[in-house]
Amino acid sequence: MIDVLKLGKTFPLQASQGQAQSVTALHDINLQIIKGSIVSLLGPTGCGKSTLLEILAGLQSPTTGEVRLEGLPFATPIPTDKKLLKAYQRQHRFLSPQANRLFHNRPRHDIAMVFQDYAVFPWKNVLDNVTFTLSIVGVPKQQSQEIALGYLDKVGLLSSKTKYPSQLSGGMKQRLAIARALCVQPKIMLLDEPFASVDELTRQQLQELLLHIASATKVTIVLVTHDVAEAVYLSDKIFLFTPTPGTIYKTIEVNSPRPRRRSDAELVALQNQISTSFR
Amino acid sequence: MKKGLLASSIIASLDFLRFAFGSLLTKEFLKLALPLMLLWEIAGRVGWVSRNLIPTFSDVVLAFLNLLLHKHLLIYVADSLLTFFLGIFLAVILAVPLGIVVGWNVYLRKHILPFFQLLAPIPPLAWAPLTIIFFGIGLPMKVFLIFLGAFFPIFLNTYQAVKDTDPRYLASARVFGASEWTLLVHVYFWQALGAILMSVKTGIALGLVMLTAAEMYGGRSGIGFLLMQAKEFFQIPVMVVCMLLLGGIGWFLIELLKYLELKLSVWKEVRG
Repeated sequence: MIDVLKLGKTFPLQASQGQAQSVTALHDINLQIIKGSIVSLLGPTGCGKSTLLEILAGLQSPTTGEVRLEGLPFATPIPTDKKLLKAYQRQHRFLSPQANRLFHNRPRHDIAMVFQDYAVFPWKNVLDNVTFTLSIVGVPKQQSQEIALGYLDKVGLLSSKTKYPSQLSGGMKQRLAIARALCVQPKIMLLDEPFASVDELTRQQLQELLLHIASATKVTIVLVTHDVAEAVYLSDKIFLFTPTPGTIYKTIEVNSPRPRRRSDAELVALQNQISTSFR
Repeated sequence: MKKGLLASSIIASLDFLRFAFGSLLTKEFLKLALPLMLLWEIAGRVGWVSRNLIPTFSDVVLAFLNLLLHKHLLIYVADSLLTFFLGIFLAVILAVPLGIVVGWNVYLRKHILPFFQLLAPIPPLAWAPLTIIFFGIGLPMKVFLIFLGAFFPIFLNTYQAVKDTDPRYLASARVFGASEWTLLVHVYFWQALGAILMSVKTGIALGLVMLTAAEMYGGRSGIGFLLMQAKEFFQIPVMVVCMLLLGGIGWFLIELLKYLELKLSVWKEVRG
């Protein structure tokens, strides 16, 4: 269960005449994500949904509000008090906002993320991309090979395990990114517009793969997308975002049973309803 | 196992030689180069140009053989190479880690970088008088001058490349809890590797300039010294031999680096 409470995020902007300015990316976000469900954050580009996902991943800190994971505080805002802020900055002098450590990896089994443009390491081959992730999580070398091959098999990349990402197609790169996220056995998988840069047919294949993974592993999936059909087809719940400042203006439950058909009348109607509400 | 290593290193060096000489020994280039060399030889012999000022090709070859057989040329070359490698080696092992650290962390960058930004624009040759006073004339002074020439391009390029690391790669490792050290070793370094090798090439070119200058003005050994000595005795063929040798060393090292670059960046190969 993920609880997002009154979350807000503002970015400072360098103004032209020395005036302090800021952009509010997220404003007063409240949402609840139930364990094992598939949830979509849907909205046009630039409405802060990716920022929300990065806060959920612990890559950014919120400005206000907090995120709770199973009731425990997970992301808390950067202090505004001058003294506390100084201490915070001192603590993070050499560390990222997520407060990793300098020399020892701090494995996080709860969350994994898949990025929009794959973000698989081009200098590592397919197998090494997965084993590197496993090594961060602290899996011993002998076992990691075996585990990695298992997950590559799951996403259908076993035959190209020695290839480099530059030799893979977009869909295959995204499969690799999914395998990399899955191999740490996360409780929550965050996907940032994962299928935006692949062609329609590959996208449908990948969506099926994702649904298969979800039903097999019971992992909670949070999906950021601007594709209405995708959101409707995949999710149990859709949060509609509006831009500047990013807020949730509508929550839609999709109750039609699985497995679904893309051409299902109920889904198409819902799709149309969402599309018109954006106009 | 040992035999396998030997065999594979022989194969690698043959591969390298083919790679290095590949652009020199092409039909197209030789078609132009051979007639030009012939013209060079004829022009001196027929008397179109003064042979005293412009030695013919055969004069240069004879001077080279004379140096090689009677004047211990190889010792001069070995001396220069040793000095040069020491300088470049020092520059690489100091500039690369420092560049990575400065590129990685904003806090350190703000403290350290301005210092180097002030020193970098000083032409490395301008350091020579001070260096000679500090180190005297000899190996340390030459090594230091070569180091200075190579250090700044390598440092500044490494820093820039590390600083420009794609944040998505960092995020995709941080999400799983990677430590900063893991990021440095597995992400920043690899991202910057291409730029580092590029900058080492620049460093080699500048280092050669510094080697020549150091040996000409404050040395008693090396190719630069030989060159200066030849000037005193007006031995133009010897001077040409020295120039060609210096050029050859630079060419060889840069080819070596290009080869290394090619082998290390298998992953950059694009399909099709």
